[in-house]
Amino acid sequence: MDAGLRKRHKYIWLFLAIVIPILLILVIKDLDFSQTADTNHTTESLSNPIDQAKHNLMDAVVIEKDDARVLEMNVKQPLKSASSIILSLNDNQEIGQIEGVGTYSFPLKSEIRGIIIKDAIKNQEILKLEF
Amino acid sequence: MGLDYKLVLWNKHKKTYDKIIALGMLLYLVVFVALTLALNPETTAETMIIRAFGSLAILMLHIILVIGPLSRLNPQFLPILYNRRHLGVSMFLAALVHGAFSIIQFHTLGDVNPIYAIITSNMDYGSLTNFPFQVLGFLALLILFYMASTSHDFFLKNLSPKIWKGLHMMVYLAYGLILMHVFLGAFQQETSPFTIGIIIVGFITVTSLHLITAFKESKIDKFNSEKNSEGWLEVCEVDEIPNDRAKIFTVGNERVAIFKYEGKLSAIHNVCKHQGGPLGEGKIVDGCVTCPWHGYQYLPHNGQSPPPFTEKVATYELRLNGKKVYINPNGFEEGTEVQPVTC
Repeated sequence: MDAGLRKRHKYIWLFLAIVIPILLILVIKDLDFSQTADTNHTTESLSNPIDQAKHNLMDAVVIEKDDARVLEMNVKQPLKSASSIILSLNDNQEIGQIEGVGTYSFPLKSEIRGIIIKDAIKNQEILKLEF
Repeated sequence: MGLDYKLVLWNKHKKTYDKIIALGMLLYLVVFVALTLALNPETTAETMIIRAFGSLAILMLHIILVIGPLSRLNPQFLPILYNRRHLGVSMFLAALVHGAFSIIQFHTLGDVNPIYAIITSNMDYGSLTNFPFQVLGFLALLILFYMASTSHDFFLKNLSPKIWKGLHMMVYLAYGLILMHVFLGAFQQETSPFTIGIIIVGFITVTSLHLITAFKESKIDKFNSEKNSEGWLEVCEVDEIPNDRAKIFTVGNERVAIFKYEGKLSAIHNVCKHQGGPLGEGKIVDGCVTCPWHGYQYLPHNGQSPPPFTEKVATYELRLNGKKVYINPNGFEEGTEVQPVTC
């Protein structure tokens, strides 16, 4: 390397040494490190469900949590849709969005009879679960 | 060093290094899959492939990034530098598998172009924690693709080492993008202080090594020697230069290597024509200055590569006054014959 490249190299690393830690601190600050505790709580709550429905793609359970109803979902297999939304079977109101395999919690505003999983892009129904 | 362009310039050493790279990659993937099956058996095959190759690419990138500064700080690492390009291309292939499987898994089942979907499936560009991290990974993959595809000597020669090296510094941008891709993506979904810790330690190691080396090099660049009445610079005493080795000095804005060999002294420009390697950190092999990075050779008295090679570097005039070595800061044209000084 010549002097110019060496200088450029030094400034690039000085820039990275300052900017990356700032961004990382901002990101880590918002991370939730208590996932294990939450899972335990969920498992405990799932033993006393209000409503529930099971399917080979996912399980849906309504539980009582802090005096409010919460829809707990466990997506077991990836869905073949780029964007999947959850709608209430009662009034087609959107409850939330699923992005892949995993567990999700959605607060409920009212009682629901069941849910519909819909591909938001193709506007197609993927799955209907009734409690 | 080769006269014509070959797809891959393999020799005995490079073949050995490539086997080590391939075996190392395979071993990592086997261990990753075994650990995943043991600790998280519900993971799907696609997810396992995406995570295994993604983490492998990150690990390889960290190794690649520390090779440069380590070999500047300790010449024992130079043999690894010699094979860094193959490691870089292998890392790109690992990143490509990660990227391709991620695109297939997350973006090919919709009715829009998968590349368009990467950019538009999450439009939360204003948020830090919900930022569309896949875009960052995709941009990094494009940079790695560009670097892997231009890593061949054909591009190096035709772009010129200075431009080539400057463009290949984009790997640092790719590194920054990949770090943010990991922190805004994988860690948002599966928070683990252990994996975050590893990446942070990796970042601190890479950055510290680069900065230590950069400041050490700056010190050499700032070296000012005294000029005598005729404008010649006094650089050192002859005993300070080891036999068949060189000492490097900054003359004006350029670095010059003064070699001692067979009872003679010769000075040539320190920058190798191949990839800008530091010639003064190499040694005299078979009467030729040999670059420590990739073995390019130059004759010390005229800066020319031995025939049939055509590379040339600038030469400088030396004088010996007692034991003191003086250099004329005005270098000659590349490849100019200069009578060596007898010492």
